[in-house]
Amino acid sequence: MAIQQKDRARPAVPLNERLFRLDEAEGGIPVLLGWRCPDCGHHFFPHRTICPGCGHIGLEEVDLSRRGKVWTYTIAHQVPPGAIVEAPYVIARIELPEAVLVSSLITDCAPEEVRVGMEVEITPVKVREDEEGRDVLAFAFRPVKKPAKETKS
Amino acid sequence: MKNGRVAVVGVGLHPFGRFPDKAVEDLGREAALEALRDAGLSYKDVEAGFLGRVTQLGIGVGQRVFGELGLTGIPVTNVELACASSSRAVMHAADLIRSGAVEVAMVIGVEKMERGMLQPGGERSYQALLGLTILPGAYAMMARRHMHLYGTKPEHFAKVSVKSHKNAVHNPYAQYRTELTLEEVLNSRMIADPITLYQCCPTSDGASAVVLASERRARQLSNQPVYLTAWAGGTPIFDPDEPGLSEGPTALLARKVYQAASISPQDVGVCQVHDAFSPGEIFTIEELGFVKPGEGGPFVWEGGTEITGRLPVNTDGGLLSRGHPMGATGGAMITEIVRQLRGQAGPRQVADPKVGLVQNAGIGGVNVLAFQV
Repeated sequence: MAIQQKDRARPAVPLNERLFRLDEAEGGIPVLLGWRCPDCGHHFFPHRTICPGCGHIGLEEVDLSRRGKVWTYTIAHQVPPGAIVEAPYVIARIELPEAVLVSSLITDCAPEEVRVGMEVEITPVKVREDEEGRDVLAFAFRPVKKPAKETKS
Repeated sequence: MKNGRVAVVGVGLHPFGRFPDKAVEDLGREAALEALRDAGLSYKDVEAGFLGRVTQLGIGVGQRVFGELGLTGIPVTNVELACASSSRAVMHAADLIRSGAVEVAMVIGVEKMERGMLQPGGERSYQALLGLTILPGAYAMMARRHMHLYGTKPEHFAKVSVKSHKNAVHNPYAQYRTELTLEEVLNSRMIADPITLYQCCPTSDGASAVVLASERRARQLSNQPVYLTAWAGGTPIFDPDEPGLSEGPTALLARKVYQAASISPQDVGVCQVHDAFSPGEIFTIEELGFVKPGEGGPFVWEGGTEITGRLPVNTDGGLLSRGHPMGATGGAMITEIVRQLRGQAGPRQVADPKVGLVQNAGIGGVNVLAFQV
């Protein structure tokens, strides 16, 4: 994959500020911006103004969970025109605890290791550098690394 | 309801394939003339025109294409619903006839397409930059979810393509008329796992035309009328418990159509579904209520959707083999259903169907239409 891991020492900006922000206190981890309906409580991603569940106008911005599960995925073997990825790469729909499905790449694992139901966490990936030399970051999800002692039982 | 039922009285196609020397007006004119001949009508009989189209053809395509056929002053409306444009155009024509406003209307669907994979999101969007929006990827993820929920196998999806290519051998309008073995389909280049190249529809040039008339007018014509007895279209419905596996509420629309036409899935003798990628046939026969959720794969595998099967599906080769010039596809699906119901489908004829169903899906929308003789 052409995209790279973030170098935490470098200044960074999000590729799309409507989709996520970077949590500097956490070393620049992306935080997805969800939209919660104050009336019926449903969450949405990406941005909506009007709740499709109850019609309420004026949803509230909330941080979405950093961890989720792979709801479905595919291993793409052909790169569409204009995309910066290299084949093969994994496209997935990630189910977050807020009952939101997010389209994302899956990184940090071999494509054939991805499974439906796999636990994943958000991670930054570098898309390019901007004119000021800052890293422009997108978000992806990667498998949650289980502590070694958990695998014994 | 002074016009009575709505009938399809004429259908026509320009062959699907690659026709670099023909303009979209040429494709549309040839399909339209075939449909008018089939109906036994001339263009001056047509009181309203609707044109289905999607890409790259500029402003006022319908006015240009219909203008090729004559300058009779009729209203012409362009309809765009991605891959379901011309079936939606047929629904608008049918609404107009049923309202009593006109007695004869014509729909033309046209498309000329570039080679290669479509990029629906626009190349500059966030998702497109990361390669997230590929259409085979969308179907592949639905396929993977189906495999996870029901144990559907890659071979089941591949069998759809084997069957469709077998049917297209007998369709002179089809883009690909060569049989493929299961191994050839499975071993063709992987595009988006589990979808291989031969499970993707091609891009195509082509045109379709459908002439509709009031029941009163249809009875004056020599062809056996095929009645469009119910139709319904829709867009996705918010359902927090069931995130979408498809482009729209096919199951809900099918129930509406069955009820309006007083039919059940068991009455359907021939069916056309949107198989832009092979898993589409398996999802859709489940959504249309022909088999229970999860039973689509084994049903296809056991030959249930073959011409000789319990539910013949995509008898003309479907999008996979007939080709998919997007704006023309809905009209081509209807053309095949009409030919089947009239008994004019030649070597691919289904044994005596009385009810035909069309399900045509575009990005973000879907249409279901029932036809009866």
